Amino acid sequence: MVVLSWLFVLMLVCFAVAPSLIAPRNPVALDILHRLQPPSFAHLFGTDEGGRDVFSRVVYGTRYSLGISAAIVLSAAVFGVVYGALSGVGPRWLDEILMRIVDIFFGFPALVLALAVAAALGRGLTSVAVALSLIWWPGIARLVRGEVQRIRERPHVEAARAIGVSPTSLIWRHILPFVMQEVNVRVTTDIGYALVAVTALSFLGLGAQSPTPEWGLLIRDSQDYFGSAWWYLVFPGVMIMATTAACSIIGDSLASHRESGVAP
Amino acid sequence: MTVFLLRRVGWAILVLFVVATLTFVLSHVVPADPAAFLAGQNATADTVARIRAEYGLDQPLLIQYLSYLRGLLHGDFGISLRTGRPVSEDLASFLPATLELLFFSFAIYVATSLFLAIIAAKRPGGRLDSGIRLFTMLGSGMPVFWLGMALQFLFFYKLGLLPLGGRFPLRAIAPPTVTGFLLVDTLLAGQPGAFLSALSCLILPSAAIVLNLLAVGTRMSRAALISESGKQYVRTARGKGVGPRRILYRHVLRNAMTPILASTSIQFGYMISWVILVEVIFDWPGIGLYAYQSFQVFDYAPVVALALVSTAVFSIINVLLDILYPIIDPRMRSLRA
Repeated sequence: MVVLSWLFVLMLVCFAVAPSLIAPRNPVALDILHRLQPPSFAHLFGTDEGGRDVFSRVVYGTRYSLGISAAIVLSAAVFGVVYGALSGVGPRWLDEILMRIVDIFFGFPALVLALAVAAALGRGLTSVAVALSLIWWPGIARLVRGEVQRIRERPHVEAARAIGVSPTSLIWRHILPFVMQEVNVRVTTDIGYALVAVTALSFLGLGAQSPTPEWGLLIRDSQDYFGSAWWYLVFPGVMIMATTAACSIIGDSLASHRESGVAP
Repeated sequence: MTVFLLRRVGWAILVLFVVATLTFVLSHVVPADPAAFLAGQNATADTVARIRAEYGLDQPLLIQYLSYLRGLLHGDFGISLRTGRPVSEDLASFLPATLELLFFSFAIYVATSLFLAIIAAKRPGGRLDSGIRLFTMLGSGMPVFWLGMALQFLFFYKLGLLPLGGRFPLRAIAPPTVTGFLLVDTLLAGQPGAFLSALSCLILPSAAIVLNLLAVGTRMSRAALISESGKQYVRTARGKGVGPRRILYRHVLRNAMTPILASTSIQFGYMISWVILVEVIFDWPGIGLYAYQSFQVFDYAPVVALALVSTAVFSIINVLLDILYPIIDPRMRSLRA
């Protein structure tokens, strides 16, 4: 399963990097004569209401959907790691303040807030990225803070302090490398969840705008047609599900690798 | 207990304040000129100036902010540009539908996840346990909006068993509004037929929400039940000859309730978000659909109201769950006093 997941992710990366090499057709060119065709050899995933090839749209959409999800999680991770580390090693009062701020973010339904923020910023993938990054970092910050506090009690940190290692080097060389294992697992799994959030906001019309072939937008566009054209709904959805599953399988395998005690 | 409750309520108010401030800042600072935005593309300079004065946008930002907060305290969310009515009035007419869907789904979710967890925890690793895990994982793997549409495809387009969307069939006679919850109102009016049609509209939207969240709920409850069943007092009870049913319901379930409740309150946040999405798919006339239709035409006040109301609902539910802990587990009473 793990190998399969890696292969799937590799395929997605190819889709995102060089869609023109893989997609058989132009993702936005209309072909009204062949509208809403079921899947065939000519159109692997069928065609949509404008006669566009759904497979090509899915391939081109990878760059938008998955690219934005990865960007959200990575930016949230960078901020969350700095924030969490600061909270974990800083003085008690700072930790208290920083963590109360994080708590506030757990006080409201996150997706609804992201929706409000994205709506305020105006439609577009950038708004979605900003809105979701805003709600994504607190979870990572909380994880990092906990890990930092756990690791810093370990004997090797005590030993490093005893021989006079500077605080900066203590954090960078002796604490963060361990914390990053945990963060890697989280980031991998979260990319799948971020994909669901991105496509959800696009589905609501807040993200990519037509005719951008973004996966969530594809599902939104299929709303009026899927009763008679199942392929239009099914394939973009299957791509989202497969990606989420692959991310969590890879995340799990990273987690078990870490548990086996392989230190960086 | 009172001190604890006051602290919780104070915290909830702080969270609401943050949401209000954040949405204000975003809607007033980010667009370069909200008045021009409100007036539309073809407006003259005069119109923009008039709108600016009308909405108080010519005032300093701080004054605007304070009057906005004062308005919120009085339940004034502004005017919806789309419906032309005060947002608070719109909310009052749409909120019951949302709450009905939310509470109905929540009840089904709690009952189903507990039921599945009890079956699964009977023989961990058994065939039934694996089956339940597979079934729930399948549901949670699907994005909720996609799952909703898949259910529509299956149960409306293919099988024709359940309605595509809406809250009540158009031709049916709606009962007089008492609680705003159609399930309750139809029963109060003594219309079992109408009750069934209201129920049939509820099934698919709540199924989408519940199926998506079931995996986490079942897994948490199952883990709590298994960990409780392994404890000494269960062995003692079994040794004394207490029946398995009594052990489960009187002993294990009561003790497992605390961790189950804790996971439930987290899940509730997701449930609120999913309700918003599902309302859009199933054309369910709640505040989610209302806000959705509003921001399609750049009407922002209802979106702010949605964020505030759903945060308030979430906070209230969390406070209620916090009150439940010491009732379920008397050991927590002394600690919280």
